[in-house]
Amino acid sequence: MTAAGRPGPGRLWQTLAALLLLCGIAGGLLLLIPGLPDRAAIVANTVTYPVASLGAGLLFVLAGTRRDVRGRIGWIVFGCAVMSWGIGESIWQWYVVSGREVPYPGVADLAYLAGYPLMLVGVLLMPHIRPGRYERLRLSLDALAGTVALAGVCWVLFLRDSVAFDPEVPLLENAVNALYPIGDVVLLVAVMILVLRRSEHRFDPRLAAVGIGLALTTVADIVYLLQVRTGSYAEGSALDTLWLFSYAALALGGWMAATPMRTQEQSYRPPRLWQLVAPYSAVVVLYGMTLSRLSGPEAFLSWTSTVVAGLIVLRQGVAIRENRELVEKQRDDLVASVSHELRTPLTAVQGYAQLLTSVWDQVDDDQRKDMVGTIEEQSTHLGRIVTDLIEVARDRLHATTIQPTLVSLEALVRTAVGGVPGLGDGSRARVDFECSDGLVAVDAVRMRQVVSNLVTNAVRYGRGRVLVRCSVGGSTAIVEVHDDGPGVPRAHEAAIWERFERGAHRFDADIPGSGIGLPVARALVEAHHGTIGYERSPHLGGACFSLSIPVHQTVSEPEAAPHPHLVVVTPEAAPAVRPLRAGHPAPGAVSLAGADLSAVRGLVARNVGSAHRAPAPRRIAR
Amino acid sequence: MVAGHSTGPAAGPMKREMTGDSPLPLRVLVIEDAPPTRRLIEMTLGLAGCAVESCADGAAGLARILADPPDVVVLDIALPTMGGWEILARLRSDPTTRSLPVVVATAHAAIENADRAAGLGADAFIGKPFDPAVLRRAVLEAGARRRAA
Repeated sequence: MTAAGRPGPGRLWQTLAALLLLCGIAGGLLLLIPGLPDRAAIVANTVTYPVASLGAGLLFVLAGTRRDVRGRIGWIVFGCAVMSWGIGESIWQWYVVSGREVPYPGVADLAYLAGYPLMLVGVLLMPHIRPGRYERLRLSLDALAGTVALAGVCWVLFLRDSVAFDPEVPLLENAVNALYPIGDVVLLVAVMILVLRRSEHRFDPRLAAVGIGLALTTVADIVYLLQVRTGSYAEGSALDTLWLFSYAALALGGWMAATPMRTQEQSYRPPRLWQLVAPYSAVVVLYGMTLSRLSGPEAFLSWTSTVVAGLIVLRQGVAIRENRELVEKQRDDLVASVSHELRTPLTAVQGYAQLLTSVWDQVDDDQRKDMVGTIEEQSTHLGRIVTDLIEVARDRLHATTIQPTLVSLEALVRTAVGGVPGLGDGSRARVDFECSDGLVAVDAVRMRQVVSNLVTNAVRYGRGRVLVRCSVGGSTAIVEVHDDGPGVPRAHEAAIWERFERGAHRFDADIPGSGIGLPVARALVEAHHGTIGYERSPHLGGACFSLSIPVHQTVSEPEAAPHPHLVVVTPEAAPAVRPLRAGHPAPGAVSLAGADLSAVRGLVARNVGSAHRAPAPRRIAR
Repeated sequence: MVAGHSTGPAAGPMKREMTGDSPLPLRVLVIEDAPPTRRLIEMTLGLAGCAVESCADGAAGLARILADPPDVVVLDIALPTMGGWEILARLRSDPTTRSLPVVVATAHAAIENADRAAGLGADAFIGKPFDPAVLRRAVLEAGARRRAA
């Protein structure tokens, strides 16, 4: 039973596991033989209990040490739990063999009791198909609800008298008396989790063996409690067979845990109905028992509550379906809008490539260069959309890398607006600028993307007028994008920053958008240590998105600066820019509006010498 | 950034192939918001001998059609200020533009949208990304039908 290409357990291991299995089964069967002499039964107990339990625990621990096994910590913890029981069994049998009375409560009880919570932890850590925290929590709550109800039923039917407080025995003994049934409740939770959980296999024999082992132990424990109460328990009885079989099942589970299995199922499958309902069947039984003991107005009230509870459950079922329908609708819309976003640059790339092939001789060199340039530009754009989508989907936008360089803010803004869809060529949409220029140290490509996203939204959702304001003042650069559209409804103001959320346009397929523009813009602004926000536009009455980015730290007093009108960037991590001073143009100063990056760099380098080094790329963590 | 002329590959003189035997070039209005796609369509149709004008938003495009109807309209669907579906519906409800050939070219390329375009009376539906030759053929055929009518 080995997966292709991976070594399975060694021969020694297999022999050990088989021996343990046989030991547990043989010991258990031996005890079933009618008329077995007491001495033989005691010998069978003495040998098989410690060997089977310690061996089974060891198999799990060894399974957890194998690098090719998933959920290693779970197997190790579970193995320690079984070995803890094994230590308890060994101590117990030591007393039996040496003919002394087993002290109660004693060290053996400590070892037994320590095993219960460890088992639950081990089961929770065992390999699981989707270790999502909510699914794991839901699973635990399901199991807990079912177990509490089942424990309640067991309490009423069997256990009430078994664990009653006995004033004649010491407090510690009373406490240990109560801890064993509690330990069994913990085991029940573990069994129920094993029943409800889904591993990466449609049927996982390892978990099945563990579940059977734990279930047998729980049943044996409860029977033991009942027998002790009635004084009918005898060492070496059929009850010991149950316990020994449980160790055999655990040994089998440990053996299989060490065997790498080919993964059969990796995709998410919603839980089946019986898995959702099963844990609550015990609750229903408990509730039914409660109801059957009531009469008069209490019974009437309880039956009414039952009907209401039933209706609430029904309503929850409907709500789940409603939610699923909504999620599917959103997914379809998302796929449609994302594909639209991808198709636009793809159209240019594919179209120009095909056109170029067919009309190569009809166009001149400049036109060919233009076409190839557009293909390059649009394929880069396409790549960025895909990268952003992946980052957004993985919720990793906060780890965006930026590479700040010195640029003119106004030139950056104007270049960004130039590439926005829906502008130019007789478009009614008009963008006005109110800009005061200055140099900023930002990641030019990413900041253009931010401005482009905001202006694209303004054109899409506005009525045709867009106002872009930008300024560099003090230590902050501010860019505002206003439009004359309806603005963002108050109810959607918070949601527009969420991933894949399109606010009031969620179901509006005629307005393109994938719901990543604003989250990407916010992440990029935050990567620049800036802030971005929404308000009503005081100028155009529609939406206004404004961002502010820290752009400089003043290096020194103006008079101390050798060239106070020039930009200075310090080499520290934060961008430090000293902007052009308004009203103090230096001889030979040039307007940087529209200047390209290399010109800006050259200008700064000439005037500031070595102080112009731009900060190294930073990886900003939120 | 105020509305302006298009730049890029479509700009500048280029050798044109004439549209059939017609002495007058086919007048095509392209309503498309994405600049690179708009330039691509302009260039494709320009090389096919059409006289191409373009418009980057829906409302302005509709106004231009109504003021001076072209021979063929190439219409995007997702447009600012007025969507392509509304433009198509308005053209079909206006007697002067009821038979104006409209080629829908959209990235919303689902089959339901093709049905919707057909239902609204579009002459052709082209999903993006498209082969420029397909667009050229669709426009020229629509134009030829228009001239023959």
